[in-house]
Formats: sequence, structure tokens, C-alpha cells
Amino acid sequence: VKILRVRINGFRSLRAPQTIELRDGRSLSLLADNGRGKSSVVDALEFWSTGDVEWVHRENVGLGALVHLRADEATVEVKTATQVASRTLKGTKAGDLVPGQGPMTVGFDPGPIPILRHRTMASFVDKSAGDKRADLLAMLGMDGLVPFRAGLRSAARRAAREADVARRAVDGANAAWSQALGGSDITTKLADLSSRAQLATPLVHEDDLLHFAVPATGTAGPAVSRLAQADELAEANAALAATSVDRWNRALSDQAVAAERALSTLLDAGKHVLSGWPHDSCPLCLVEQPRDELSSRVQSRAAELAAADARFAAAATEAAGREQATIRFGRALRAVVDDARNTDWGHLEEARDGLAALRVEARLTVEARRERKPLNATPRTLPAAAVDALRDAAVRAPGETAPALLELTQLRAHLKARIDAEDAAARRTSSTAAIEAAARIGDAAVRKAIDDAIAEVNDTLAEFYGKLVGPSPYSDVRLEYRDSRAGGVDFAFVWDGDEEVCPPQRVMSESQLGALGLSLFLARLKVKPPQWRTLVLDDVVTSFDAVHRTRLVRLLENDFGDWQIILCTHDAQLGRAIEDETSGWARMKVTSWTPADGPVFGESDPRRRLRQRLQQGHAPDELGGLARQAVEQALERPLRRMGLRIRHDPGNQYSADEYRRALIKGLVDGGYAHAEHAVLRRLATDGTVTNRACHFKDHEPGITEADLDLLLEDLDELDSIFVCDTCERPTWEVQDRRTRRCQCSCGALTCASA
Amino acid sequence: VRSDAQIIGEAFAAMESDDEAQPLAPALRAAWNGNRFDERAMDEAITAIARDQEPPA
Repeated sequence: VKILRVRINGFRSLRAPQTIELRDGRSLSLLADNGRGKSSVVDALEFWSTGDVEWVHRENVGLGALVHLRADEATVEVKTATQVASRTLKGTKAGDLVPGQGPMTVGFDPGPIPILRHRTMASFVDKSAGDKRADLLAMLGMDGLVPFRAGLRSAARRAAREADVARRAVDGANAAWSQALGGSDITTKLADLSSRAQLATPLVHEDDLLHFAVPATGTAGPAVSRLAQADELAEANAALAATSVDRWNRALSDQAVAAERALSTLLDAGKHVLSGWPHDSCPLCLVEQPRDELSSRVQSRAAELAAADARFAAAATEAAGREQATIRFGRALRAVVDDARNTDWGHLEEARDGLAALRVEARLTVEARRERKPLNATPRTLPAAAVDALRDAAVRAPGETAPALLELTQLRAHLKARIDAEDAAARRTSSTAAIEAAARIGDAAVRKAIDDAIAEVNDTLAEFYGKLVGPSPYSDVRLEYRDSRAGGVDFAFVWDGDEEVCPPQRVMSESQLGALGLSLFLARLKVKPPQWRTLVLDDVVTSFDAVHRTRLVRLLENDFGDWQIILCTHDAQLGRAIEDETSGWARMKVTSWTPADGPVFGESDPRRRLRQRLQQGHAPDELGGLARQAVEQALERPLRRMGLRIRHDPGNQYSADEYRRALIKGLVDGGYAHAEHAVLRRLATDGTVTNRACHFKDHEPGITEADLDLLLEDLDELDSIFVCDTCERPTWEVQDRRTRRCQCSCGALTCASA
Repeated sequence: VRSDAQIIGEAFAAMESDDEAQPLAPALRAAWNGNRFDERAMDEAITAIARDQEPPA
């Protein structure tokens, strides 16, 4: 699939509608200064093909941020050989997305257009090892595996933490068990307690203890029930002390303030409405209050009230919890106070007073919930010493066997807790082993997939890197799976013949790292081509020098000749390399730009633009400047490509005639027969004509359409004399570095034979 | 060339035939929505095994 046409409207910096025609799916170089809309075009293609733009998520703004600041909606339409499909989105200035995003045509989903941006390449330098791995995996087309592996690993880590907690619980239970044995072994302890408790069948083993039950008769039963009573009192006391009503009290206060403010604003609004007063000032208070401002205040107050209500509803569970805890504590306390066996409890009077106060508090809590009143921040509870004293009284209950029986029940509880903790830890260990095994299997699967993908791409990666950077001290450039690099993928290579290097930052510059990223991106497309035969490169040569730029263009022309390249750059050198090294590319540039409407894209080649303008019926008098640029460009190119000399001008300001003279001189000096060609003489006249058009004076004849037609014919003829009829390659195809002599590929067009 | 979904599907199958991972494998497969794991569902499944219960699949 290739792009035949793109229409963009209201998207990012492109407010005015722009159309980029790419007849037959040809490649495009889009030349523009920084901030003139190149990346907006790239984002538009990303949005069109995926419904999303990556930076929007990274910056945590809505997709609405893609709509031009002064537009209501954005539309991107792309025409391919089989479809015309568009996406539209509406957004607010704040960047929120307004629903209404148009779908792609049903059944047409060729997947994301491959796009490489400068910032993606820069990430190889700046990102952490983990993020870099994720980026590399994304480039390998395996980004879906990242959350799979990370999810399993993270679950295994959580399970290991839980297993650790379970092991610590076992340690705690063992310590409590040892303390309960008081230094005896279990057999001696059980023999002693069995004897003191006067058990008919003495307990011998742990198993006997586990199945031991307090006899229903005798003095033990009441003592056990008193201990249970004390336990419940202790728990209820602690539960009540743990309650908090801070949120409830705060929400009440918020709600009261919001209600008062809302009422006062609504009152103001009511005054306006009821009076039917036609003016902007309030008829009662005669204070200037514009209606729209008042309306906005009413809405804001209503929202405030609704928010306060929501907070109040959330806080209601807190008040209900207080009520339940108060009731539970009251019941536990009443059971203790009413039990005649507790008369020897030293805190009985205090408990009776507390019970009376608790009744009042319980009533107040119920009322406060019903009538929305504040609650007492500190609940009424018993001191811990009082609860401990009750437990002691229960243990010291009359009867010789009771203390021993109680100790047996406590020992049994410790034993059970120890066994439960050991069971829980064993099961945790087994569940942790299951998730760890799953994580290992997931890791191995991802590892194998990465190894396969790396093996698939490495040869091409090395080839492309070699083509991009030329002779260098780096060999065997490849991707590797390295456990030491956070268990991930990184670049590795051999430096200076025998030094293994990873990570590449140890010896490579930023531009070389960028070249690695670019090579991987291109290699990946080559070995695993997507449905698209279009690839987009946005400002990827920023840190490249002139030679590397030319190498990139040659790589694209030779290895991606059947692809459509969309190359956005601000770099004029790269633009010239495309002009020199490629054929059939559309070359566009920003012909005008305003912040309000954004850029206007137009043909960047002056000769093509001149032809277009003539076809569009522009007056020849208006085209003098364009004609002069076309002549200068046509003469400069062979001069530069053949390495011929021209008088140095620091400002690079040469006239067409200076180019022409330098070219003729260079050709003569080098023995090239091109120098004798008539078109070079005719171009002197053409230059004069264009100059006359540029500096038009009333008393001189103006430039005509026929003049321009002849000029264009001459320029085409000039191009043709430097192209070999046999191999169809230019004179400068092969250049001898020492003698600087040029010839075409087959050698038919040389300095001698031309 | 296998897709991510194929690779992940094969990993789940390997878990189902692994002695240690097997009890958890169906629950893990259910917790994967194609793009990420549901952490809560994973933890519940692990806890269920720790409580000697059948993990929810």
C-alpha cells in the first residue's frame, strides 16, 4: 500500500486545508525550516493510520490537543490505490477530546505506517536500559511481549513478598509456642497440665492436645466462658478505639459552607429572574452583576454543592462504623457488668459509669447520623489495664482444675496457630513456585522470540549500518540479548578488530548511535515488511554529517527503490542529496507560513514550479525570479557534481552567468567536450533574458511566454548533455579521486569521448 | 514469523503442561486481555492456590 494523496485540515499547526499529491505513490522530500509544520504532517499520518499519536499519551494530554488551537475539528484524509479514508476529531482548547472521531473505512486497516522520528533515535542515548529495551523490542515489532513478560515477573515478585510474610508469621507462631511451653518440652508440659486438670485420660502428644476439649462439667466451663467474655470486651474496646469520624465531621462542615454559598448565589440569580429586570445591574442591590457572570457562578456553586454531597455520602460509612462499634462495645461491657462472677473485678464501678455514658453516646451517634450532626472525635473506651485485670480475674477463678484447663486451651490455641501458619506458608511457597515457574516459561518464550527476531534482522542491520557510516572501526554490528543489560536487548559490536563493546555508548557518538537506530528501523522493514510500502523519516539526519546524509539517500534509493519514502527535513544539504541521488521524487517545501493558518506546501524545484505556474496561466513578467533560480540550479548542479571550481564567494552568491562561465572553464580545462555544446552559449542569452525580467524597466521589452518555453527547453537540453545515451547514468557517476576525472557507469561518457 | 499473540499463546500452552505452573495456567490465560494482565485477577488466583482452593479461571 502506498499513499497517493494526503489532505490535512485543522490538524496541529496546519489550520488551512493542505493537499500533498503523490502521483503513482512516488517518494516525497518535504523541506521546511524548524517549526513550519513537518512534524504535524508526520503526526497526521500516524493519527490517520492508528487513530492515535504516541506523544499525546507521553505528555498526558487528550487527543483533542491535536486540533489546531484556532480550529474546532481536525481531519486527515489519505488516498491509496484502493481507498479514500479519513479520520476526524473534535477537541477543546484544553486538549480534551470531543467524541466524534470518524472511523476508517470498514475492512481497510493496513496497520500503522512505519514512522521513525529523530526523538525515537535520540532515545537510544537518553533512556534507561529498561526503556531502551522496550524501544528496541518495539522496533523489532515485539512490543506486545513487553507487558506479558513484565506482568508475569511483577506477579512473581508480589507472590514472593507474600510468601516472605507467611514465613515471618511461622516464626512468630513458633516463638509464641515456645513461650507458652515455658522452657519445658511438650511431653512434660502435657503430663503436668493433665495431672493438675485431673484429666481421666492424660494428654501425651501434640495430636492429643489438638483434639482436647474442655469438659462440660466441673469448674472449668465457667472459667472458660469468663475468659471469652474478657476477650470480647478487649476486642470491642480496641475496635471502638480504632474508629475515626474525621471525614464525617469535615464533610459536614464542607457541605454547610457549600450550601450557604449556593443559596446566596441562587438568591442573587433569583432576584434577576423574578424581577424581569432588563438591565445588567441587580434591581435590588443596584450592583453591577452581568448575567453571564452570574450564570457561571450559579453553575460553579451547584458543582461545589454536588461535590460536597458526594464527599458526605462517602463519609457516611465512617459514622455507621462508629455506631456499630459503640453498640458492640456496649453489649460486651453490659455482659461483664451484669455477670455476678465479676464482682471481684477492680474496675466494676468504673465500668458501670462507662456503660451509662456509652448509652448516651450511642443515642447521640444515632441522632447525629439521622440529623447530620458532628460526632465526638474521641470515643469512650476502657483503659487497657482494666481489660487485662478482668482476664486475670477469670484465670484466677475458684476451683483447682480451672487454671490448668485454661492453660491447656491456650496451649491448644498456640499449637493450632503454629500449624495453621506452617500450612499457610507451605501453600504460599507452592503458589509462589507456580507463578515463578509461569514467569520462567514466559521469559523463555519471550527470550526465544527475541533471539529469533534478532537472528532474522542482524545481517541486514550490519549491512545497512555499514552502508550508512562507511569505513569505521566498528565491525560485527548486531543486536544481542544480554541478561546483564537488565535482561534485555542491546546493540553490540567489535571495536578496532578485537574489542567487544556493549553498550555502544562506550565508544560511539550520538550521531553513530542515531545511525544504529536508523539501521535497525530500516533493517526491520526490510526483513519483515508490513502491508505498507511507505515509510516516514522525520528529521532523522540532524546529527549526521554531509557524507552520511548522502549515504542515507543512496541506501534509500538502492535498497528501498520500490518503497515510497516520505522524508521530512529542514536540512538543505539532505535536500540537495535527494536531488542529486534520486529520480522521480516529489520535492516540496513550505512556500509561505503564518501562525494562524500554518504552512502552505508547494513544489520546491524551481524548474517544476516554473512549469506549473506557466500552465496555471501566470503572467511571464511575474516569473522572472523563478526562471533565474531555475537557470542557476541547472548550472550549479554539474559544476558541483563534477567538482569543478568557481571563484570563492563567502556568501555563496553566484549569478547564473558566473556559474555558466565557471562550468565552461572547468569543462575546457578538464578536456570535456561538453564545453563546446551550443546550449551553454544559448544559456548566456537565457540568463540575460531572466535578468531583464527580474529588473523590468518600462522602456525595455518584457519577458514573454515564448522566452520562458525556450528557456525550459534549454535547461532540459543542458541536463541531457551530462547523461550517457548508453548506460543512462550521468557524467559524474564515477570519479577518480586523484585526477578528479569523471565518467558515466559504462565509461562511454568521459572527458575524452564526450 | 510468529506474531506476539502466537508467542504468548504458546507460552500459555507450555505453562499448562508444566507440573509446577499448571495449577495457575488457566487463571493466567484468563487474566491476559491481549494487551496486559489483570493484576487483581492474577493475585486472586495465586491467593486461591495459597488457600488450597481452585483458582478462578
